Amino acid sequence: MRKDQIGLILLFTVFLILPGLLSAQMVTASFDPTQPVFLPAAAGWRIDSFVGFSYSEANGSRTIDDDEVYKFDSSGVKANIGGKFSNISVEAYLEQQKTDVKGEYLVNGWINLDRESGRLSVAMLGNDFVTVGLGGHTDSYRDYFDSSHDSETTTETNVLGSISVKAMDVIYIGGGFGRVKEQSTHTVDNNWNYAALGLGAIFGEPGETRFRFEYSWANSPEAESKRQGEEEEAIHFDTTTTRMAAELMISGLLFSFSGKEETRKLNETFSIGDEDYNDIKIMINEAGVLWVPQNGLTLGFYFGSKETDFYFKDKLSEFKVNIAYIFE
Amino acid sequence: MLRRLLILIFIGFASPLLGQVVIPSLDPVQPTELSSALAWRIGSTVGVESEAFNRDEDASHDTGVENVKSAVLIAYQPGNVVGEIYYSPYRKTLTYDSDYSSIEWTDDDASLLELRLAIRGNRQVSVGIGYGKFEYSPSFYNEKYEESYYEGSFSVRLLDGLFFAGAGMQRFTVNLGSSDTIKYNTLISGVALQMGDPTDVIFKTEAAYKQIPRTESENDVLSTVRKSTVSQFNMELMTGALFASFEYTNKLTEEARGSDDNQNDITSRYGVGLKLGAMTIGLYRNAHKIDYQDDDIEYDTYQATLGISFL
Repeated sequence: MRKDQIGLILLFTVFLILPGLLSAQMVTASFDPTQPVFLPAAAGWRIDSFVGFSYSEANGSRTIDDDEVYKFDSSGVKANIGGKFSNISVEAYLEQQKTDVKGEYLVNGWINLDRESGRLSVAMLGNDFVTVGLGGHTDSYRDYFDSSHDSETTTETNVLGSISVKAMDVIYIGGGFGRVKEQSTHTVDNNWNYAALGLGAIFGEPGETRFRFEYSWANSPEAESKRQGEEEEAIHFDTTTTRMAAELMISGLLFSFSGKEETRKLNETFSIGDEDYNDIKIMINEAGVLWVPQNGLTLGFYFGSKETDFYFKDKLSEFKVNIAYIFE
Repeated sequence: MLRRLLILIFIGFASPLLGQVVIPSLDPVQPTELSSALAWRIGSTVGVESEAFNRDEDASHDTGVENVKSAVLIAYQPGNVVGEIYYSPYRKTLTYDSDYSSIEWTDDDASLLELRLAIRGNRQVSVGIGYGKFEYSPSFYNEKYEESYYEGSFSVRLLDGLFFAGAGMQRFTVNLGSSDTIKYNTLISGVALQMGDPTDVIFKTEAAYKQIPRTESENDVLSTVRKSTVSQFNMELMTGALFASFEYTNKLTEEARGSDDNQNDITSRYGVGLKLGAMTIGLYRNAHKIDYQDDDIEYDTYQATLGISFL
């Protein structure tokens, strides 16, 4: 099979492979205020109000059978603003990411050209024991598929709720549920639900040496909407996402590690030559060092990597600088 | 193809192999390598720097002294946040024949811009971010060579300011026009010791290590980046208005030029300086030696710095 035929077939079978955000903040909030929460209840454990900004640059390539077919250069800006009002926390997050692609576009297949994301989380803290949160996410993607679908836009609207409970002063257990509505310029609308569970631990008090750990699991089952008129069918594959975060803060110096692995099970085996593919794996990892005082200016950086493993391999390396201010 | 290889293999630039890694130099015009070191600066500085080569030392060329580098440095410290701009708009490049029969400084356009920002926390830790861009238009090739990097680093101050340790990473992207790209990460770490009072007698010494991985170019136009390590040791002493410094840097490149042999680029820098109120003057001799197989080449450059510091 010629490479330029592969993507065309995938267009009608696989659709979007979106790397999304790392966001390993499901039941606890990161010590780094520029990192947004995913499940809104996690925002309830924020201690102070803050405003944070981030700029990132990433580059990498796509290879098929060890042949490089595209080069990627992307940059992004992010802003995260959080307010703590008595026992209520409100957090708003905005992100814009653009990717320049170098290549002849001879090999069809999905390429994300730009992405805009927004999140709003509202959480209420009760008796320093439980937080309950409600939130909304929107993610808008503009993608290239082939010469006749070279700028298609997909928008996902996600409404979610979650809870996080603190036990024995250090353990955090929680979960959430969300519903996603997907709208696209070339497919019919689609909807799916997902559930998430998380376990976290935070040792130490603010101003002291602190350690945070979190592991979470989320799953959304397959959802399919049939073709209608000229609009193609839409498929959301069964997707399992695990996230992990570990943070150590010593004298205000924060060492942060986090990772996410997403596995999308194809609804049928995809074969090219002798190779069979049953799933798509997306892995995102990052490690950073930041100065995070109890109040005042914070500054830091992250080095990260993103990989997509399918019949093609995408590999990107990212460098990100963060600056934020934490209010008293 | 030979000329393409020249770009990465047979050139050198009029600059130290490493700047200050953990804590800044007592000469405030010397730039830092890791931005986290910037946070330990005392006050703000505006300074200029020039480096010269004495052609009398190379019999194959005319006599006389030529300027091979000019640079300006601005460091601003309004509080616990420090910013540094280092700009060198004029840099000659050193080329030498593969048989070491002669060296030559070329007038090709070359410039270096480095921006750094650091924050100091509780007088115990510092975190910094940096960006640098080196541009070079070799006369023997019709595309521009560009080298840029992002850097992130941190350092800690221990034992009441006696001991410092720092580490960081630089993410490099090297482009030769639209023809080829190389990307790689370097790891840098170091430890430093500082004793005394900046207003009286102060002594500092620093040891640093940089690791550059072997990296293949994507389209084989640029030469492969060879695996190399840079080891650096320096010490400085200031007594009242006088200061003296020594720095030894050794870059070991493995399998240099595609052979099984290693290449050593060694620079020994000797300096003296004068601090007159807010003004600092530094004079340095850089003794360079490039050692490869049975051949080696030696040459000296002379550097002068002038800075004005203010709190």
